[in-house]
Amino acid sequence: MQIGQTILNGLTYSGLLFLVSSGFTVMFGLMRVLNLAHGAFYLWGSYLGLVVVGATGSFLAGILVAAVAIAVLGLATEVALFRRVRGNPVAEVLLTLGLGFVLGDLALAFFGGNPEQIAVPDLIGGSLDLFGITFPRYRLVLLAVAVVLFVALRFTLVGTRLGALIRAGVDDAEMLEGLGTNINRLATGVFVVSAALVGATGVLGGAFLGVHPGGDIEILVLAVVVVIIGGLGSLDGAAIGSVLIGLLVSVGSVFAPEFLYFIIYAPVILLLFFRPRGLLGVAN
Amino acid sequence: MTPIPKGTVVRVPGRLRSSIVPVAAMVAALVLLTSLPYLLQAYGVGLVTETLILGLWAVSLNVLAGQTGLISMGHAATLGTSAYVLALLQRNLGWSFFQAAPVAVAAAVAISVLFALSAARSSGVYFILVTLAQGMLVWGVVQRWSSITGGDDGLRGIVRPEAFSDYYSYYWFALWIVGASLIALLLIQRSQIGLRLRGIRDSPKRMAALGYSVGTQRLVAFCISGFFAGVAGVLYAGYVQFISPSTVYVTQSVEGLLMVILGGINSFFGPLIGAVVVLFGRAGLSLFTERWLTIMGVILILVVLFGHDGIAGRVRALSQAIRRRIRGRAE
Repeated sequence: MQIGQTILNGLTYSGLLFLVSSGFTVMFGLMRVLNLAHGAFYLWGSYLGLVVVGATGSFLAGILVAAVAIAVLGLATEVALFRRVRGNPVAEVLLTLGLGFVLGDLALAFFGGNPEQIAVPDLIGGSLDLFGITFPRYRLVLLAVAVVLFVALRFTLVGTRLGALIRAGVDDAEMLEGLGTNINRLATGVFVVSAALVGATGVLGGAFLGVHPGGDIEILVLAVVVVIIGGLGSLDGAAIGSVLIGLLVSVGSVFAPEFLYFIIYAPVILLLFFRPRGLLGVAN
Repeated sequence: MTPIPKGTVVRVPGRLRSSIVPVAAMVAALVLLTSLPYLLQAYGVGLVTETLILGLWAVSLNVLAGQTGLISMGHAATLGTSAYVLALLQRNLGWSFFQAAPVAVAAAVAISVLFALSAARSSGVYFILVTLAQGMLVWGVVQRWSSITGGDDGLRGIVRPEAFSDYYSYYWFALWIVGASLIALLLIQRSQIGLRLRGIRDSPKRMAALGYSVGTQRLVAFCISGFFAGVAGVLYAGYVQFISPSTVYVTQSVEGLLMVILGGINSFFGPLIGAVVVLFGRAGLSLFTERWLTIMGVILILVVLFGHDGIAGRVRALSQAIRRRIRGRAE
């Protein structure tokens, strides 16, 4: 039964990874913007959730506040920083890296260095008996949320006018602009939604993995690994990458904890040698 | 592809005469720096020692970032590999500093070759991400494999060479090795090797058409960079006499990039200037605030937004303006 437990653990972890990496990858696909402050957004979402859930006792309020606050932060970042360096990917990466350091360090200053945990509401707390495996109910909920998000995002991208615009932007931004779409506004919108998503995910993740300094870089690097496996810009790729990495993390921590990171990163580096754009990456 | 920055001088190979002035300046600086222990206390000498060592490391990063156009986010891994190998050989096999150092530098070159091979087909943003993953891989092994590496506690008791165990004699030791390394790096940059690296940075397709393999040139860049980062790693381990995963972490890699970008990515000495500003700045600011990472992030943002060519670029523009004014007056 340990195998089943490990696999279920891995899959729920995959759910969290997908929640974190989906916004990251869609944003890259659309604007070629790699937001390395994504992890810091997540961490701030976690801390805001921690404070709000602690004060109000409502998990939902925590999620809402975190989503709105991080969306505003994302909007400010996009308008004040990103627009100044658009079209220069290296400058963008360095800029977001700098922002990530500032936000991560300020979180440490405001909230201290002690690891914290966001309380899971009773409704989805406790554990569940599943084919003889006792498993925390909350993690299964998290997995379900991730699946719902995947379906919703996929439907938006494939089945709606907005999604068609985003996909057109991915393929040929210049042509789309020429046809009368304000691509800057579209990008800002996607960026804000992606920020709100990662802010809310911060709360969900904070109830799963806890909240601690350095959590921003941990989650960022995992998201990076997920999207480079799947291919930057590909939603399906992010889903595949999440499942692979989630399972690797879970199996790795049981069977070879000392080499956990080696088990995670070595296949990625190897894969990129043979498929430089990941499994389903968009061509340049 | 990044456009050639304005004011970039493409040097004609073989004209080593143009190297005479900077080499002479470096020798003069070496003589001046040699007298430093007579002027400063142990703390100051220690700070300068660290600055020299990490300055060399930043210059070695710039072989990739500036000369070859490969922004690496994993360069701390090369520094750390060399430092860890030195520490492990000393602690587990009882090797002396000079026995262990060549193996440690070789290990840094070896890991750089692996990095180069695994990133051989990536460019632009993908390259940045791959190097980030590479750095995290080394960090992860170091941090997790605690039975060998001591995990987060790190490894203590790194022994300096017997003849250079005092703070001032170790300073001299580091000074002369860093000085020699910088001269070697400058000569490499001005040789055909350096020219080829700039060639694949500015125009990889033309270089390929001329018969140069871009992959091979990248490998060369990684080897040169890895060798000197390895030298810096050995010196750093001897200086701190302690090594922990934080030296391998992404924060350290970004600090290196900050030195390069702040000092000037298009200049040979720029990263050294960057190292001076970053390390002296941190030492000074640590008296007032613990928020060094915030300050580092803000500086990074400001340099990216406003200071395209770093401090060295500003100085160059200023000196050109002055020269133009003098010439204008003479006419």
